[in-house]
Amino acid sequence: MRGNNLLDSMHRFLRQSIFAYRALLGWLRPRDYLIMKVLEPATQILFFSVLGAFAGQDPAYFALGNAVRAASVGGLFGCASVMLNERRSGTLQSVTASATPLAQTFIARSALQGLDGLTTTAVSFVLGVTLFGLDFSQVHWGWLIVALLVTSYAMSGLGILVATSGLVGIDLNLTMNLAFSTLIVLCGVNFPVEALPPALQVVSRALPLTHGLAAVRSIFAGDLAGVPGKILIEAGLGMLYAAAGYLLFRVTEYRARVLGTLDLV
Amino acid sequence: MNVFISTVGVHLKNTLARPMFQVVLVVQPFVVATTTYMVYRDAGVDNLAAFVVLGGGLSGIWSALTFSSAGDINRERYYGTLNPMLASPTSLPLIFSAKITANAWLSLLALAISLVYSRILLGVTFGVPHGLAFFGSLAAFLFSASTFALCLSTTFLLSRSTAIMQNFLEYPLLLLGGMAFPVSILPQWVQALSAILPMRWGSEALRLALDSAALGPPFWEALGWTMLTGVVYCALALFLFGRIEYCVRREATLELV
Repeated sequence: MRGNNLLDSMHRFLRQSIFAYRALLGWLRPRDYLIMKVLEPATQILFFSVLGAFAGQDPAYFALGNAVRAASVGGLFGCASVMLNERRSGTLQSVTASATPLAQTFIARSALQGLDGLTTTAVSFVLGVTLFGLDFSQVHWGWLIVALLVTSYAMSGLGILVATSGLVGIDLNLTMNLAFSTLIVLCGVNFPVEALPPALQVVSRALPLTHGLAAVRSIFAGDLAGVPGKILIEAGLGMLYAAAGYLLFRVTEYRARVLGTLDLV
Repeated sequence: MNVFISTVGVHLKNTLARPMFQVVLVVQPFVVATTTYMVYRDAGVDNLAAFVVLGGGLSGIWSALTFSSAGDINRERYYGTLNPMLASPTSLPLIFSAKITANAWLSLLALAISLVYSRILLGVTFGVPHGLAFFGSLAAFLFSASTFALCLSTTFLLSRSTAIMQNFLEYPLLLLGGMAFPVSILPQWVQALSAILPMRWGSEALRLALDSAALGPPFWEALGWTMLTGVVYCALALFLFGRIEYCVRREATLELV
């Protein structure tokens, strides 16, 4: 009986994940999916790689940093975007009033976004190889896939935290874009973290993308010694953010019910 | 003129109150100015200040314009006011010109923020040796970027995917507009593509106006192209507004895209 309940829960979780993934990422309009997951990251990679090339640096460094960042951003935006769309559709109140806790609903709905980041990575890597000479000769594919998946899901943890801001009346577009921009500047995407002032380096090391990206860079350099440690830190940070997000979700959900701020943005 | 001035006034207040617009004004200059500074700092790039301050400021201006021109149409559609606006005696291009004029004025804040941020936090000093040429080029940049945004907004009238399009268009135009690096480093065919963008000529004119050397033919050429492309996009926008307005009236598809 207990086993059946667990299977039912898992089935519902999976079903929600698939429906939300298809709806959010425009599977009903493949053109939108292509723009969001392929063209947009590609142009960002081009911009930063050319910027690096103008400074006489290796554009492959920029291509790799932005490829990983672009891929993992899906995890960050997934949960918050689902929340944003529920509010726009006028269904956030109904979802909140349902028997399942809001946090569980949104975690289920953002579950596949992290996995989908691999599509963006694949396209970005093709671009990196063809235009900027990204070198795969030293790459250990197993570790690379693990590092990318862990980074993407760690970003989902941050996404859950970001999504909670929407429940207390803060514009979700605002927090998502602030988080997105902070990651570009602070996580070693376009220049090493060590180039930042010491105080910002501390902030950088507490963000989920930093260690995952460092692991990916090590994998490309063929230096696997520190990779498991970096991946473990990344996974730990992701779980920490997800746990903080889950707790805050429960608290803010309660506050939004009490204050009546659920649909007030 | 009354409608134009009133629309500018109302739009200034509405737009400045939107959190997303505030973010665009601050975030884009922050990202581009910081990244260009950190990447160019030790690379011995000539005219670092121009790339850092102008790169941050102009990309902020462009993002504010593109996000607003697309977002304004989406918002009117979302509020259900796009149809009444189309049916009103005032022409749709006039209303959207007023909105984009207001956005252009507000977007100047991005340049100011980039200047202050670069000076105080990055320690980048910024001199303007040819003041008149600089402010003239800035006015030309704003005019031409606004007419280009107006042109884009006509195409957004036909699309429900405006949010996706506005996000997508940001970086290609930053790349082709040469705001953070000269377009001369891009392949020839990409340079040819960028030549039809007024932002490319405007950012070039602004950078040349910051050079302490005397203003030469390249500056006047860049300024001339900025104005010319701006006028061409203005005419194109008016034409497209007419055509698209006729189409959506005839087909009744304004809300059905």
